[in-house]
Amino acid sequence: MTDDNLDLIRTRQRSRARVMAVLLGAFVVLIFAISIVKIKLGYGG
Amino acid sequence: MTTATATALPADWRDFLALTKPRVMTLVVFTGLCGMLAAPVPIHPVLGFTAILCIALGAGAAGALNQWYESDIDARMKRTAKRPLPAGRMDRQSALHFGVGLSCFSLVLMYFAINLAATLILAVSILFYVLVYTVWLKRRTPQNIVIGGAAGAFPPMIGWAAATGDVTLMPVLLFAIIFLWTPPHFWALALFVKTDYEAAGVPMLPVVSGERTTRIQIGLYTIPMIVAAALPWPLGLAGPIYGVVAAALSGIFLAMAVVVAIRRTEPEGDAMVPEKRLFKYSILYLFLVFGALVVDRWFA
Repeated sequence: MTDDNLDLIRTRQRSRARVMAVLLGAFVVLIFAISIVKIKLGYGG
Repeated sequence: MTTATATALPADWRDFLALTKPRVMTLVVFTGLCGMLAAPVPIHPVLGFTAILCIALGAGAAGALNQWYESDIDARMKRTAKRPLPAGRMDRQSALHFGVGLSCFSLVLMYFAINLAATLILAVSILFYVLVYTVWLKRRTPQNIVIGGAAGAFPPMIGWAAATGDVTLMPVLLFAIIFLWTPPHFWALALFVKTDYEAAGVPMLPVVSGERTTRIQIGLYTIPMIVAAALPWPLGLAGPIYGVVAAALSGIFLAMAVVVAIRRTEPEGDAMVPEKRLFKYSILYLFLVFGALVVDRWFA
């Protein structure tokens, strides 16, 4: 594997990790918001 | 760069996004949203957003699994050859894992955040698109998009079920509109990309039965589609705003479909202008008809 390929792999891994982090953060916020709404609407159990 | 080298690299996140067919997803999301907004029961904005997100993720997952299964066909068609799998930017296993994972995620989120009815319809739509349309029908019969069109017709029903928890006559009519809209929409496309389908060995109607039959079928399927689009008003399920807009748009659709139906393809160098026009208009038609339904429900 050439240095160019290694650089490309690392660049892609970094950008995928960044996107994944953003998506996971958004997911946490969404679940929090859903929980609050469900409690407010009386689905809290 | 060779395909072997390319697939040895981890795929770019943009390629995963491309697997979800974002352009198709816009229509799916829009009709799902309209089904939800046309429902008589309001849904909390956060839950509404979540339901639409699940519909989008489910549609994206189905698109990814479709591309996973059809990478050989896609490689032979000019229109699809640049997709991540045929272009060698991603390996098939990644696409399969992504599609299955996203399907499960969308269903679990829909079940816990929304309700069982919406989850079941979403599951049926994903399975229908992947198993019935992609795996079973597409390579076997020219009726592939007629029956397979049902998969794309579920979103307004899911949106409605997300808001109300059940399915009544109105979402069934919305389903029928998209179901009957799919054949003239896809066959108009198939007429001007016929050579692509021929090269890929996909038995689309123009390839198997010829252009004459396809043109007649486009005209014939437009009639029940128009009836389905008109029905909500006389049945008292929508008001005059929807009725008038749907009638006007359907009239234009019918006129364009008749032009395509009675036309004969030029032996050489036919630019297929009326067919391309009908294809583009059919997309606009669906957006406007469903948009009119929401306007009618909220502003009438």
